[in-house]
Amino acid sequence: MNKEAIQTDKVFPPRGNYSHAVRAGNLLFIAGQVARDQEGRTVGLADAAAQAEQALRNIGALLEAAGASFDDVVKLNVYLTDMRYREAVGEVRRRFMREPFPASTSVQVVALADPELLVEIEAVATV
Amino acid sequence: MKKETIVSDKIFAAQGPHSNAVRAGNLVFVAGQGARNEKGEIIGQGDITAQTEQVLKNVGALLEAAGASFDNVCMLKVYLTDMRHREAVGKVRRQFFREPFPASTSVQVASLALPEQMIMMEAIAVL
Repeated sequence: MNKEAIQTDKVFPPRGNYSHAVRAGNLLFIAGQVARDQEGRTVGLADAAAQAEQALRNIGALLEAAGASFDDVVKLNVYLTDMRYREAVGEVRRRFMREPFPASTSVQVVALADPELLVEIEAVATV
Repeated sequence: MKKETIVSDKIFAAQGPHSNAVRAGNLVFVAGQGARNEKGEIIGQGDITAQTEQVLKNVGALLEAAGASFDNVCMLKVYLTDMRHREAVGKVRRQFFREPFPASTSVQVASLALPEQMIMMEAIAVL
């Protein structure tokens, strides 16, 4: 199966040996996205809703670059540094997703890549 | 769709009601691997580099048993007990993966199966 890294100018390049998104056949895997804008700056300090919005914008840009949309997302994993952010993140998610909603799992983790990051969201889509 | 457990002599048998890897069609799901050798002993106590090497050796043995290789890995999830180990882990990953790199998410968790475990990695590969 041909495996292809998906890139877009709208998402800051990966810091490390990974791809933001990989397509293989009709499957699209999107690496955990955080609140970084296209210059690599963290946005929404101490604001989980703003961070979720940026993470979802990044996911949207990667989906678009792969010829997909939020409608194609079948699985979402949400990593929060505090479970109390769940409601605020849920409200943001509702603006990006519509029914049928993806299967989704949310857990609280001890830390994400940087201390200022509060939310990370990864996705699997079928194209 | 036929679902098949993948086993390898190089991997300590799964302890509990799970498979170390499952293949269904052209998809291979590799369960979170810890730094255990084939006898079940934890390798590299207190040494994140040694543990990462063992983890990736285990992932590689399971991929091989499924007829796949690191080139087929589209998604890699990394669970660390300390995010400060991320750089050391990245150096080991570079020895196992080449471009196009898989999509990847790394998070810090409160604990893994055993107290001496510092890292766990799970993978999805597409054949």
